Amino acid sequence: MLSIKNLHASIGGNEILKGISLEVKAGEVHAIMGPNGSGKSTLSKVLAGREEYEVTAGSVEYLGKNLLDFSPEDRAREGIFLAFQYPVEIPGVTNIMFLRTALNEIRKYHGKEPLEGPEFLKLVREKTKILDLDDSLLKRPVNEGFSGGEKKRNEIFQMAVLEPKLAILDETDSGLDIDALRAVSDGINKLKNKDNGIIMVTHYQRLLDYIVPDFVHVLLNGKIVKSGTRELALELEEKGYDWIREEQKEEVV
Amino acid sequence: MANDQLFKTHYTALAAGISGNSDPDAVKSLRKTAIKEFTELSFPTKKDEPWKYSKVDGLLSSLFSPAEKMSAVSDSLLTSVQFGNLETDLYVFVDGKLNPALTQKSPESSVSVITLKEAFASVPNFAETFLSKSSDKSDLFANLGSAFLQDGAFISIPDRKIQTRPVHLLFISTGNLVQPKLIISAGKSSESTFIEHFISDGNPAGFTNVSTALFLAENAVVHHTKITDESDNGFHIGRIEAFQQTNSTWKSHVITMGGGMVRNEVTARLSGEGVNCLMNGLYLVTGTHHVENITLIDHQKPNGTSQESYKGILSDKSTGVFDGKIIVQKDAQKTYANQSNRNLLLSDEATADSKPQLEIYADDVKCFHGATVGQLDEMQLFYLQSRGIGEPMAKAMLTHAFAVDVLNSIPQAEIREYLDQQILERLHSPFHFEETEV
Repeated sequence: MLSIKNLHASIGGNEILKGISLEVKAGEVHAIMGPNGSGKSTLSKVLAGREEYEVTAGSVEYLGKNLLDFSPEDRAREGIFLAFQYPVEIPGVTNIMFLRTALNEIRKYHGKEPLEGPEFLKLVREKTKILDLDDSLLKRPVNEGFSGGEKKRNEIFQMAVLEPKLAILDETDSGLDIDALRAVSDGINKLKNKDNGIIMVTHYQRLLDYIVPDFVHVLLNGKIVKSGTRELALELEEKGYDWIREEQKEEVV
Repeated sequence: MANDQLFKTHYTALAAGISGNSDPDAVKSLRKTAIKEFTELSFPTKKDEPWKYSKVDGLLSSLFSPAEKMSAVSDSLLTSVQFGNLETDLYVFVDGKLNPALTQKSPESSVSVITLKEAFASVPNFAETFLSKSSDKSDLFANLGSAFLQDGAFISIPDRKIQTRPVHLLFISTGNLVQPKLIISAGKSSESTFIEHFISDGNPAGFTNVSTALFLAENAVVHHTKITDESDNGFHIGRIEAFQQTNSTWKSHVITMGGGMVRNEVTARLSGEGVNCLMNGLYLVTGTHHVENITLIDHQKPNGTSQESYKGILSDKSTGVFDGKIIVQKDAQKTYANQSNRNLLLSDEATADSKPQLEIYADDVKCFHGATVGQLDEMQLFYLQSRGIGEPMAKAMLTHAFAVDVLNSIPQAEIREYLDQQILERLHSPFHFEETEV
């Protein structure tokens, strides 16, 4: 469903992504790991359409279309969902208002009628149950005053309501205690199915104990330098990234 | 200044024609003094401090006269300004004059509304009690209003009466010189709600110069919302001054949505102990329009609190001004005062000027103030877009979110919703406010 070829992207003249290639098929879970500053979050933001990043070379094909042609909202309407590393607080907009507007904008794009209040509420209640969320969260302004765990859970809740085809989870596990991590990964596992793809961007192996990836990629200095299966993640956990750096140097030599 | 002379000559000639022979001497002498003051005062310029950012000089080149007769008002216009299904006592003033045929009043209402002329005749010592205290004697436009003193109303609520049904004072301008004076007298421990609502019939040029004085007796609570939504071609200068006795609470909301040039002056005199004052304002300015808000909170006695929040949303080439002063006098120990002014610029060509001022003469007080001018937050915008919300919708949601807390302290949900809808319409928003009950 997603085919990234030789993607280069920069911000303020600094090249961050230096030729990334990645194939994601429906039903697959990919983990992208790497040390701080390797370009993991940049990749997530470029895929979601953050305009401050400039794509200087390469292509991203999504469901047969050129993803880079789409505005951020049209990417979302086409089924791409980014769970933010740092979810944004929006005072004055309630969670429920936000979600209803988002869902109905997506429905409109696909020529569907908007969901009326009661129908929407029914859907939302189903999803809060799956994620074991408190209803009071719905009435609160988006992410305002939420704890770190609540913010991450709220991201997954939005994902549950919007039902994306391709979810990009940017460091969804960072800063979570073990209970919150379990709750978040349970939620993701319940939403996983054979038709949707998931890209998990993470610093730690820990999340992968709960959500088992089909593929693990190591991002280093703006490039995917190694790909493998879950075992690669375990190896990284044990040995860190230095051995991969060493391997890289040898290859260059 | 030649225009200045023309301005003075025009209005003094008109004021001389006011028929008020049957009025009490005190009223007649008040008018006379006002004409004299008006003639002697010079037209404000940018050198005069509270007029520094003003665009009031447009009034020099457009002179207006009072309406010659009362215009008819269409039902559709009246319907268009109802607050949903909210039941109100409605009083309609056409070009400043009450049209009693359009009054809708509940028989159970405790609030009495009579014309100023009736008040002159029937309320003992009316001028001494209610007219001489209010209005800034050194203000040109206040004096202009007093020189013409005859339109408007005297509104009173007796001691200990609680009126939940709001009183809707609807002022319709057909494009003339409109100068009503409102006096609101709230009895001890009473509670009441007033909406001063200014609209135009069509889009005429006109000049509304209105004064409102509120007298809150001990422990009275008054919810007061002023909505200015007049013609794009119009001028509006409004002065509101509240005199608050011990333990009274005044909750003022000044919402400006329309008008070519609007100046709101809002003053609270906290003249008793333990007085509460809420002063909220929202100005939504579009096109080449200009809105200025000049506020003064005067803490005179101990244990008073004031909360002030004015927010501006400025688009296109519009300009907005906030000039807010808080004075804490020597006696006003244990005062708590919090003032904030925030402005959201939706265009590169819009301008906001903010001038918060604190003058504190007491030593045991807590006072805060802050002012910001900014644009929509890029990250918030991206977050909304990343969920499928289109850019125009996302902008409207964030703009609405910026404004909405100013309205939250208006007690009637129907009024809040009405204002919400109006705001969204002005923003040409594709976003419709429809709260989902959880």
